[in-house]
Amino acid sequence: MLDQSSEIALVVIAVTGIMFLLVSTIIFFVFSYQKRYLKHKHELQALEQAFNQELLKSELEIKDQTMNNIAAEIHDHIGQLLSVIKLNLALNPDPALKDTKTLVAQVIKDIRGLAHSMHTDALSGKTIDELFSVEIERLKRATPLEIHYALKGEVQPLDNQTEVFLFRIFQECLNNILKHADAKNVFVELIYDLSLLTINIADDGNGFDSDKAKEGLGLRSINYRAKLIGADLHLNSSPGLGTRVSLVINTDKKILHGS
Amino acid sequence: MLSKIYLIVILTSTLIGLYYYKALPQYLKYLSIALVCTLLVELIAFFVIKRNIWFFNIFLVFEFPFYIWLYRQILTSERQKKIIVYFLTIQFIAALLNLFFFQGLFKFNNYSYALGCILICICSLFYYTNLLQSPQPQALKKLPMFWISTGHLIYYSCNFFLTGLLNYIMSINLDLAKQLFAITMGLNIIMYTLFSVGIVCSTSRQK
Repeated sequence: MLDQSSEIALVVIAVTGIMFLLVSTIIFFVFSYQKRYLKHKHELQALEQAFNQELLKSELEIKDQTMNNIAAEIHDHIGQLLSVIKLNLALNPDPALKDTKTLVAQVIKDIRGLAHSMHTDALSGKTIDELFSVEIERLKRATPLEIHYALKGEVQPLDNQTEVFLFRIFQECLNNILKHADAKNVFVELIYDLSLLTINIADDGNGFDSDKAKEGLGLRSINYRAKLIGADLHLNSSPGLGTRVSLVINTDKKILHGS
Repeated sequence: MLSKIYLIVILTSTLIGLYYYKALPQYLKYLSIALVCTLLVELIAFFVIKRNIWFFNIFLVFEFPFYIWLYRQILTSERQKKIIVYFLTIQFIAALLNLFFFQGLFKFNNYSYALGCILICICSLFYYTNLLQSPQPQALKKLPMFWISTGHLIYYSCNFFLTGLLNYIMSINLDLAKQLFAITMGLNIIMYTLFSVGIVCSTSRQK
């Protein structure tokens, strides 16, 4: 039989031990609940991100398909009609039509250039330098922009899809400049350095606060395409000081990420 | 021996608080000041005053309301904050009444101590519910107040029964009371170690 003191000691130790276990259980529960909750939240965020990426991918695919359709329509229909007009004009020896004939020939050339720059299949087999040069020439004729183009280093071939993506990013940047920047000059640089290709596109337009700017489809598609080909994208802009987009890609990279 | 380890642990905790004082959020600055006060009280009680129960009785009038008030600084729920103000008032008045009219200055005020234990445990649980209901959950091990409230919950819930019966045990067998007091010392060591972890993780979080 235990005496009174031992009984008290036993009860105190037992109750304290039970309390300790109880509290430990509560703390463990809080810990594990929080952990599961965090995991669940991260999963939800990952799902949401994947959904947004998929949505953007679909938007871009639709955009590409639409551009392909328009390009085909321009090339096959409007191009054909213009060719017929050119033939008809050629049959007429009137010297007063000489300027018109020249203009029609120019329009046919421009229309074909536009159709080629829009159609993805027409871009394959060309280096990024060739694609940029053709597009810049086309834009110089069609817009009031002064585009200054510089190629530095020795051109290194990239895989076809990467070149198309880079070209689309370039087009999107120029499109943004035309739509929003109100710029007079655009400076495009293509720099090949060892295994790196750097593309700089800068303008002297309005610029914007890059921290506060809302990311529209244009900027999102630039980001998405850059991410897909594993390129580092840097965008610097501030109100009144123009915008500069830099894209750096490893020319040794062969695989598209995430596609 | 355990008392000395306890003093070393609380000294370490206080020094950590003072070392990082400038980098700490406001509520941890208050905690650091409270740690300095606690250390001074423990040192005076340990080395200077022989019959020190009156000294602890006065200290606990302020100690519990302070910790309860600390939770008021942290909690986000208005309802819980209101309840905490009631807790604070009840604890302070109960401790004063007990000190002056019931158990007196020279007998350990275990009634007000036990009440304080319950109230602080409730505050800790309030904090846990706050964490679980937070719309922006964070990793618990990175939250300083999680460690502090865990220390409180372990110490005060486990110590409640022993301190509640302490006067009774002392009246029966003083030696047994002294032996059982080792449990309180052990719990104190756990609590102040967790306080140190909380303070350190607060500074690492800011980096």
